[in-house]
Amino acid sequence: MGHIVRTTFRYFSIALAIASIGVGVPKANAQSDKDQHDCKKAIQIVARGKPDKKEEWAWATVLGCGAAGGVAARDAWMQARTEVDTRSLEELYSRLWSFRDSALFNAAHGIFADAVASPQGRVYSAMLLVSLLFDAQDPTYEFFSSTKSLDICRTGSVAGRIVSHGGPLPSDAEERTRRAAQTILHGSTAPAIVVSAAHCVDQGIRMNEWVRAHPYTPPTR
Amino acid sequence: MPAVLQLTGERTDAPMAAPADFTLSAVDGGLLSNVRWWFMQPMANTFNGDSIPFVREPPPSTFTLPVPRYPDAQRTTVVELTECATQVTCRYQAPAAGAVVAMATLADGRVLGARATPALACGVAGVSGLRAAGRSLAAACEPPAPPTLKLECPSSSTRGEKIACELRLSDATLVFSVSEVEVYATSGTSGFSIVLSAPGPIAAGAVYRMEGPAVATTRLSAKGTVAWRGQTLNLVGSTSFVVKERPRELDEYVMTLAPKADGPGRTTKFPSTNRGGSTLGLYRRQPPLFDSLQIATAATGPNRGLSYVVSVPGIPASLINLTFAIFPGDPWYEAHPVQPGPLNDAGVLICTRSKIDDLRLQAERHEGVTLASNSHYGLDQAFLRRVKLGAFIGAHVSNVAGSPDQIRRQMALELMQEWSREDAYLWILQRAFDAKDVPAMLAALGCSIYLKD
Repeated sequence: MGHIVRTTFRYFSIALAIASIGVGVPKANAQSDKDQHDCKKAIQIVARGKPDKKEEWAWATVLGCGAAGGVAARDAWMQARTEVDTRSLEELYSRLWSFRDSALFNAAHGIFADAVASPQGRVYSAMLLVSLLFDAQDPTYEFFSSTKSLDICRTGSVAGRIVSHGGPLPSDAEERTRRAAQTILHGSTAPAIVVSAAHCVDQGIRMNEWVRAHPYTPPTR
Repeated sequence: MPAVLQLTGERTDAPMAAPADFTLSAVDGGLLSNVRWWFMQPMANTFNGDSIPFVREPPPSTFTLPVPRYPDAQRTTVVELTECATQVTCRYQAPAAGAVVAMATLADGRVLGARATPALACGVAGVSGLRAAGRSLAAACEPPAPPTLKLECPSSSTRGEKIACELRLSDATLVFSVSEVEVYATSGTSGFSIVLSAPGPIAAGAVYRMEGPAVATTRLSAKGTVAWRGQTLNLVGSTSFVVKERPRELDEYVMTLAPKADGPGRTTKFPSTNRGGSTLGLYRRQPPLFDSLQIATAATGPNRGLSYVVSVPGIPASLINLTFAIFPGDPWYEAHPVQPGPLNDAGVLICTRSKIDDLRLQAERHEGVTLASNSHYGLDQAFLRRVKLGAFIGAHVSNVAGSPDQIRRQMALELMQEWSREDAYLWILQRAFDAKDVPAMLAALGCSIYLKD
């Protein structure tokens, strides 16, 4: 997965902020205990899979809880399997789209390929797979659910996104995602919006391959 | 053996504009008698000293001496110029391409023939097998140049305008055949080798015309054959033309719409700690509307099958998301102190609401709400100015078979690939911008935005 750019830069790095104002680094052990406590609490909240305004801190915190946070994110994402309300799905997606974690990936992959999962949940799972694979891609439900098989899936790109890391993605994550998309495309039973999403996934992976094989060299001025 | 008889006069490789003199003379200046004249067609029936068949005059002629000419099956017309009989100078206007032929009895009794070549009267050969001689005449009696394939196009055109290329043989009297017409077209960085359908046999004097819209700078070549003087000649012709691609204004292919505020989007709702990373703002770049691409395909002409863009799609406004957390009224914003003093769990001074206001202004500037050059939007716009994607789109040509819709979709995909390729490069620039600008923003605050650690 060497081609996947894993952004380690943190938008608001506390280390940088602290250094800039000349404040000493806090004690590691005390901080670690505190972190563990916060993570435990955040994981319990997130695993329920229902974002709540009063508990927003937990959804932000869990992204810093590594693989344990990933398990909570996976459990949360499993709500998508039966969810048909795209507003709820967007709420969930917008909190987890930048958490690159293997458990979350597997959950999204499973729902995307699951013929009995809700079509909307499958579309959002397709979007999540693309977001987890590629830092710059910015899937939207609008295009993932409405692109005809031969049309361009107009996936935009996003700057300023911070990707957090849980358990590392499987080494064949991209290939597995592609296979799931192609199985849907070659089948005849998936709902139109799922076929559209599969087309967008397939095109997104192909496009990335093409870009990797044809890197851009800007004109010199 | 030296030449003894010569014939001089005007060219007869085309109809003559006016009568002219053809003169027969013995090289030694001796007298000639029993002079007879003929006009033979076609001119390809040459007689330049080579041994050729002799045919006796058909009845009712009682003239028994052989006249140098081709057998009946190989000749078209032989007309005796009776008005010139017995004269050594014949005033004659050739009505078509052909050859003037004369025969005479020399002073020593030999009977010899001579003819004017299509290019220039020359001669000297005879029924007794005398060969052409005499330096000045020998050159004039060289065989005519073999026919060539003429392929001609205007040297330049503009994309979409009609262009006509013509294919003909230099010798308008011959039937020829074209077996292959090939095109190598280039546009931008792409090149296409295309084989067009070959016309096959083309009648004598006919012109094969290829007319259609000009699409790309093209080198056109054709191959064929022609039967000439008893052999099959291979013909090759080529030409090229330049196509101006698109108006220059496409160099300026940038976003014409300011970025659009699109709510909080997928930003962090409550930037509680730094550990997971908090996304306060996002800049979301939208690809051009390639699905509304308009293309045209040349259905005829030398660029047949090539498609090009006739209408360059616009670039939609980018979207900017800013977290609500940095706006007054949001729980996160309101959780910050009004006065400086409180420290977070890490012992760092927590930013006041006033500082969060400063942060909001900086975040707006950073994403591009203010259209600042030092923003994601500003970088994007500067990048577009630099890469000139519009020129690429304008120059883009595709050689895709299929229905108009299939061609349009394929071209849209090709353009999206180029966009994505450039986008991947821009993304690296954007990331570098973040790496430099965000720490500077935070440092300028002089406090921690985080309430906990």
